[in-house]
Amino acid sequence: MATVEIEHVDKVRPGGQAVLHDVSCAARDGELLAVVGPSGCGKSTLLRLVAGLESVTVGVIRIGGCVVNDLPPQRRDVAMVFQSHALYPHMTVYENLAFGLRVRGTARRETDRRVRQVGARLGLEAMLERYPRELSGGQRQRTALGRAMLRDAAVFLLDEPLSSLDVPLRAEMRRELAELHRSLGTTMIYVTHDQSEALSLGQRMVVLAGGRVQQIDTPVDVYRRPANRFVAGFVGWPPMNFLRAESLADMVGAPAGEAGVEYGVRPECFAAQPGGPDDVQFTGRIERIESQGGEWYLELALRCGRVLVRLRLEQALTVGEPLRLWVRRADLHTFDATTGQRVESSGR
Amino acid sequence: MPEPTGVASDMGVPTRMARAGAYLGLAALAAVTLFPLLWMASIALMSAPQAAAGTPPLWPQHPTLANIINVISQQHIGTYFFNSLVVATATTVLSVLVAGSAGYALAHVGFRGRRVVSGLMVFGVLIPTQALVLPLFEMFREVHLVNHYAALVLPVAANPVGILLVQAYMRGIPAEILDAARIDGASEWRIFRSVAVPLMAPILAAVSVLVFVVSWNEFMWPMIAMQQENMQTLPVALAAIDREHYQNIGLMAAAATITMLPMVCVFVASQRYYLRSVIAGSLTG
Amino acid sequence: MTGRRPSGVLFVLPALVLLVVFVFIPLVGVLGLSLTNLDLYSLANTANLHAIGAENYLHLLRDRRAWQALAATLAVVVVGVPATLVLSLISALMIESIAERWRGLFRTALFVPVVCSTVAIAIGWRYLLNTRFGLVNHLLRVLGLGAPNWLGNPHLAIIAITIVVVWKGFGYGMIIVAAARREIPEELYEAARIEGAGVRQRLLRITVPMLAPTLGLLALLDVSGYWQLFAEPYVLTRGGPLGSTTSLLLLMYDRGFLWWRWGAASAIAVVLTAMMWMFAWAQRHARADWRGE
Repeated sequence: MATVEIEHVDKVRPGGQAVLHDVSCAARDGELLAVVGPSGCGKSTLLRLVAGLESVTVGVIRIGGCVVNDLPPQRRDVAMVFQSHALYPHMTVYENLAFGLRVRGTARRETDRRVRQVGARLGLEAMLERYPRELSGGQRQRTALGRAMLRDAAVFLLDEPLSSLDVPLRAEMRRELAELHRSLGTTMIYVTHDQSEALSLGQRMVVLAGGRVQQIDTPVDVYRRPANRFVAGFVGWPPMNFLRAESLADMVGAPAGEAGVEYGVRPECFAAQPGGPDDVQFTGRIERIESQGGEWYLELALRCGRVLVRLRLEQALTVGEPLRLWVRRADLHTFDATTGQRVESSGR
Repeated sequence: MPEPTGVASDMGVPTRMARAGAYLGLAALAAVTLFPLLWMASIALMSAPQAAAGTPPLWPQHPTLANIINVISQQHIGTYFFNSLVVATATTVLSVLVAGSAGYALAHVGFRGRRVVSGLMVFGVLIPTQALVLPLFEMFREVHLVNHYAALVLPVAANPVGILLVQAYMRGIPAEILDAARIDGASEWRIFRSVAVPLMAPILAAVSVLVFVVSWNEFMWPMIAMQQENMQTLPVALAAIDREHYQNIGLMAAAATITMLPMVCVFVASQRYYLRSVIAGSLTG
Repeated sequence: MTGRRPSGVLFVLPALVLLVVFVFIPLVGVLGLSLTNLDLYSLANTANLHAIGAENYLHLLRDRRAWQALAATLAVVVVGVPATLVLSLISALMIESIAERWRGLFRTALFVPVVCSTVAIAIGWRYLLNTRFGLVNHLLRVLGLGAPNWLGNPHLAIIAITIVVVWKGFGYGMIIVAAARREIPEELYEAARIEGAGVRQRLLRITVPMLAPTLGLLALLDVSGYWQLFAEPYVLTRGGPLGSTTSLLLLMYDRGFLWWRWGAASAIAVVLTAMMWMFAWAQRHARADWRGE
């Protein structure tokens, strides 16, 4: 068990390319911290810095309170699960699991006991003599997890561990991972480009873009109160609608915004009936309709743009029809149009 | 152009006739490449009068091992064979070690000057090594290693082609596997031994066959460096025997066959690896 | 790269040391030697050893045998490389067009000469090309084409050597071209067929252009191999008749190790190396032009 503290870390590649700028974040003891961001945002690099596979240019990384900047990976008390699983293709599952223990000189009998114990826990008993190429995606994933578990490390680092699996398996492994974290209680840093994975798995999440931290918060708070326009657009699916200040004309009852702000509304925050007195009212014409079973995805043309709306509605809708919708005041996000930063409305 | 449909359009000669032509052409080419070799083996088994009678016949009338026995007992071919075996084996072992570690490091271990070293390897491929025999001979003379196996092994032990082959192959292996071993706590040496070498095994096999064959057939430098007769390798000795006995066609055929046959066997047995190294070698260029 | 820098260097160190000692130092050495008058006299008494600048090179310019060796080597390269490329290409396309299970057999048959000792091959061919008893002339006589003196006639001897070189070398290119041919997507041929391209058009418009980079590379490999021609003339003709088959490398060997004129021999080695780099440079540019299109 340990905390991981990353303080004011910069990473510049040998060629001069800056990957991370002044990144600070921390994983509390036993926490599952999700790091999420679009590809190329530096999230994998951040993980490799913590692992010791690459070295920081500026800044400090602490694991369990000790500065580890100059420690090689094997002395940092971390385990890692890689995107490609990185199983040793020439070793059986058993040998893959045992390799780390053997390298560290664990007694043969002890190694055997622990490998079998972890194998049993992950449901790999029958697979121990197989080679990675003979395993299914899920079994490979479990083997990679088992290898990390046998490392008995204070911190687990997971680099997009589910991205190489197909969709149904991904959901299943996501559940298993959450369960594993609960039962092991180990500190985990989980890197992913999939915001829904970060929302569902992370106890807190770090949103990274362009090598800078955008927001650190619980998933609920990141979703409800995105710190800036980027986070607002990146977290949540379908993505948030953005409306320029001029489109105020489309809204009735919106707060009198200063010039130079931008409004954001999530597609699922529209309602067909007003919920309260200070709800904001939108009027537009239906441009496109897509039915998803009980739900409708609508494209609504306002005078100054279009918004995507997700709506639960019994009545049938027709393209071309006018439609009036309401959004709660609290669900109307305001951002500074130039800086992109969230502007807290006085109402909250 | 009318063509029967449903015939595979391979290489744009889909017709049955064209395919028959390909078989015919290949058979003719194979006859041209194989005939001289097979005929030599055949002459090696002929009696002296038969081999010497004008144009030797295609087939030995009464097969005899006389020529082969003669080559072994009179010409000491066993000694040369042993020398060739020692030199080719030592060269192979050494160059596989050198190419394996260097190719691996160039592909997967970061260090200062890696690109410079990589560039040197590419440059090394373009150096006609046979043009360097004069200073090389002088160097070995200075350290009294002329007429030593080392003189044949050391200069070719660092084979730039082999190093580039290993490097290219290792680039295809994800670095994550090696990182995983680092996280597992393995030392760099342990990673090399337990993870990298098993992963490199196919390309190392290819490089070793390539080096073995090349080393066995090397001619100019061994002729210069091995001036003492009992240290000569097969091709050098073969050329020396030829100067003296070129009129004895049966004897020469036997000696030539003994020189070639081991490589033909090595090639046929390890074709898969050997051809892979030839193909890979062309792709690194 | 925490704590990793030293070991990376250690892994390449053996290769680096061996290359520097046995390739790069001799490379500088041969250039140095070529600027001296090192020969039997100065070997015996180093007081006679002098740096003589470019004199060895100036000498080469006036040396009829050097020009002859250059012409002989160039002849083998200029005739032999295209011949090898054509044979490699044709045999590769034929191999790729026959049934899978026969390919291995023919591949082996055509490749075997590549792995055979050049000395042994040359000895075999010398008997085949013998004017009176050789099988080649035997066949020519049967066909009524006379019996040329292959190795005794200066004009024919260089042709004979080129034939042996090509015979031994084309199988190597065949393997490489066949591998490259397999990389051409079959859809290209299907698309061309749908557009009505015939056999010849598909060969000239798809196969050959798609293989061009491979053939270019192969040309460089063949050039650098044939440029270092040595064992074939050494065994077949000993450079004769009248020096007509003395290659540059054979001339260097004779001057260096028969006459111990090391300075002069080194100058030949330097010229040989420099010309090979020119070929490599030209090939690189040709390839760049091709890509630039």
